[in-house]
This record gives sequence, structure tokens and C-alpha cells, in this order.
Amino acid sequence: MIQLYHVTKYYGKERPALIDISFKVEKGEFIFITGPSGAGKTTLLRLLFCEERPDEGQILIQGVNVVKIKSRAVPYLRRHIGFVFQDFRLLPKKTVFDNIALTLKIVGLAKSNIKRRVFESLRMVGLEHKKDAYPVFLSGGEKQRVAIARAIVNNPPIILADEPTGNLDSGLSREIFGLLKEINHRGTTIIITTHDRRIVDEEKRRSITLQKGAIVNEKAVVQYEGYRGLQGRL
Amino acid sequence: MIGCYIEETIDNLKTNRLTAFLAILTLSLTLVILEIFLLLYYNLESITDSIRSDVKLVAFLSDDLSQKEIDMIKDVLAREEGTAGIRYVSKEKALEEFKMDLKDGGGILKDIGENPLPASFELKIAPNVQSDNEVRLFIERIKGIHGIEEISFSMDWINNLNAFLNFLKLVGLFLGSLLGAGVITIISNTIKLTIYSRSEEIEIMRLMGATNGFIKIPFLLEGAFMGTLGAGISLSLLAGIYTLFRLNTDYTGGFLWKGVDLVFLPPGTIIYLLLLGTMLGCLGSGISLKRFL
Repeated sequence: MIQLYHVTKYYGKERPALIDISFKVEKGEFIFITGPSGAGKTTLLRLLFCEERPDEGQILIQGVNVVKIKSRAVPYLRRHIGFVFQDFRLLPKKTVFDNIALTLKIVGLAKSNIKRRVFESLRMVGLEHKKDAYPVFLSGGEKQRVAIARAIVNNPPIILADEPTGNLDSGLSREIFGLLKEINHRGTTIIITTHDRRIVDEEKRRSITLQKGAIVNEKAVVQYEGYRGLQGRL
Repeated sequence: MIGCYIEETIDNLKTNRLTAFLAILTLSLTLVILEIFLLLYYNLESITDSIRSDVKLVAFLSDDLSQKEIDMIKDVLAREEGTAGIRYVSKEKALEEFKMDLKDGGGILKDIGENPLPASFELKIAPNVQSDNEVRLFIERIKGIHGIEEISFSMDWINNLNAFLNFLKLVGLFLGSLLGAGVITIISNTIKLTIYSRSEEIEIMRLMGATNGFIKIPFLLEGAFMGTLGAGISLSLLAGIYTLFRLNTDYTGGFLWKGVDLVFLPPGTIIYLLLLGTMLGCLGSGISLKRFL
């Protein structure tokens, strides 16, 4: 589903932000990218999201080499990827419903379908009753659940989450991870960056550790097999 | 899709109503300054034209002319190329008008006895003979007509007026251009600020896979709407100021105002100003968006 080959990214003449990164992510995988602040986790996600291009190497997403695609094709690629941010990035002047609906308006879905899909998505994150609320009246956990609802409303095959629990306490973090695992069970590939080792250890999923822009450790799935494993057995 | 853009534009305007209101207000107040200036310029031009078309030459006649001779002189003057209009003022009429001009209704003239004022022809000079030299030649020609005793025409006065009005126009054009440039800068910056205040929204939409067109079009429509509405409000304000001025100012008695009515902006200019508002709004949005897209 996602393949990186010898990806390197420089910012100016300083030490590269990413050095010779290569790995593969299969369909339906749940993978952590970990490492301390400044290790290159966010840069890696920005490359996957075509917000930036690598200076060296190739990146394939669903068979498309995103390094070579034209700028005007980037929005169409992004519609296949849901993004969850640490700071939620909800539009403060739009209601919960409108924040989620915007994703579907962008892809040009009909109004009647938008309503149905937004409700489905809100039901999934358990926030139907908050559809008319503005983000400012939501708790941190609720905001992140809205952000997740927005990321999944278009049924993207991939979700990238950049420190999704970075602003939440441990209880809420578990709640959010529970939600992301549920989404993963439905077949969505999930890549999460976090600097919180404790969560990575608890979840026992495949993890890639970055340090100073390079992969220093890669752990395979220990116990939990995830969607792929389940699929393989069926 | 157009419907979706319009819906999105209306939604955005509703959501950001305070910013939109402030932008429209700034736009209106800035444009009204330019429009007041334009109105002054149009009226100055109208007064100038009126004064020029009102330039008169008076040919005083000898007292001993018969009615037949007076008619003959009238024919000759009327045929002259530089004559745009002709009016005969008899001795009696001249006295009557003179009395009316005096404050006490002519009481001072009671003791004079015989009417000392001569009969005359008032000639309106055609607009095509208003240069210094042409007027002089015209006077030379009619001076030679038998029965015309004296010509009254102040060349210096009309020349000075022409020079003054031309100077005013030049100053007007210069100040108008400066003001126009200032107005354009203020308006495009106002629109820019409304877009900068929504930079996060643009960023989020981009990350969600919105094409540049999807992001741009509602902003351009918003800019166009705010620009047109701003121009419309400014023109309404101008009409209000104009009406108040007309109602509260006695402009009929003054020398310059005599026979001149104040004019409002012509319909063509009003349409141009509305289009200018639309264009400035659109342009302000377009230029500001380039920073983000």
C-alpha cells in the first residue's frame, strides 16, 4: 500500500531531516512511527501527504509514485488519505457537522449523501448529539473524535495521525487509540506518529523508531495481528 | 457546482459576518471619498461649461437709429458666424433691468429725468470662437457696423477664468489620481486582511484535498460581493450627502452658481464605480490568495 525507497529530505544545507528511509506498509496495517522530538516523524508524514517532496528516493502510495505526480494532482491523492492532527485543526466558526461535511463537499458529494455520511461518521465516534456544537464548546477528547470523524467520513484507505494524543491525558489517549483501532479493524491502514514510548509498548504493534532522521529500530507485530492477520486467517 | 460555490460563499459571509461587515464598511467609506471628489470634479466641469456658454458681448447702439435700422443691424449680427444667440434690449428695457438690479428698486433714478441708457444687443458668443484671438477678430468685425457705438466685453476676465478653471482641473486630476491610488491600496489591503484571518481555514481545506479552484472561487465571489456592496453603499452615502447639500444650501444667488444646477454623477460613472468595487474586491482576494495557494 505504501512503499518508501531510500528517502532523504534536506532543509537547507544542515543535516538532513530524513536519511535513507526505506520501509513498506501493507494494506490494513496499524503502525507507529516513534522517536524523540525533531527525529523526523512529522517530516515523514508531510512527505506521505505530499506537503513536501523528498530530495532523494521514491514514495509509492497505492502504486502511485507521489514524488513524480504533478502539483495539481496532489488534492486528488489527498482525498484517499485522512489526516488527524495533534492540534485537531477544526474550523472554529463551523459546527461539528459542517467541519465533517466539508471533506465531502470538497469531493463534490450530493447534499443528501453528505448528511447521511456525516451522521454515520458521528455515530462511529459517538458524537451525534454534538453535531450542532462549535469546536470551542468541546473537550479535547471530543475535538479529537470530531477530527477522526472528519478523517474517516470519506472512507479513505489510509489514515495518517500526527501525535493524535499529544494534547490529551492518558485516559482520553486510550479512548482515541481505541477508536483508531476500531477504524483499523474495518480495513483502514493507519500510521501514527508519537513520541510516547509507553503507548507504543502498551499497544504492541509494529513500530519504526526514528532518531536524527534515520531509522534506528524496527519492531514487528508482537502479539496482536491486526486486520491483516485476521484477514489471512479467514 | 456553481450552486455549491455560491452556497459556500453565503455560508462564509454569514460565518465571518463581522470581518465582512468591517471590510464592506472600510470599502464604502474609502470609496465615498473618491466619489465626493469625482462629484466635485463633475460639478466644476458643469459650472465651467455653463460660464463659458454664458459669455456675452454687449453692442451698444446710437440713440438716433430708426426701428428699420435696428432690424437691419440685428440681421447682420445674427448672420455673423460667432453669434450663438442674440437679444435686443431697448432703452426702456435697459432702464427697467437697471432699476431691478438696484437695491432700492431705482428710487435714486427718480431725479434723472430722461433715460440715459442706450439700447443694445446682447450677443451670446458661439463656443467655437472662444479663443482670445477669435473673439478679438469677431469684435473687430461687428465694431464696423453702422449704428453700433460701443462694444462691452471683458477679454481679461474670461481669460483669467479659463486659466483658473483649467488650473483647478489639473489640480483635480492630480489629486484624484493620488486619491484613486490610495483607495485601491486601502481596499486591496482590507480584503487581504480578511483572507489572512482565514489562512488556517485555507490550509485545512488544502490538506483535506480541496483543489485550488474549490478554495479560490468562494473567496473571489466573496471579494466581488463585498466590493460591489461596498461601492453600492458608498454611492448611496454620496446620494445622501448630495441631497442634504442641495436642500440646505442656497446656491442660486451666488455669482458662480447663477443659472447652474448641481449635478450628480452620470449613470455611466455610477456603473463604472460599481464595477470598480467588484473588480477591486475580486482582485484583492485573488492577489491575497496567491500567498496561500
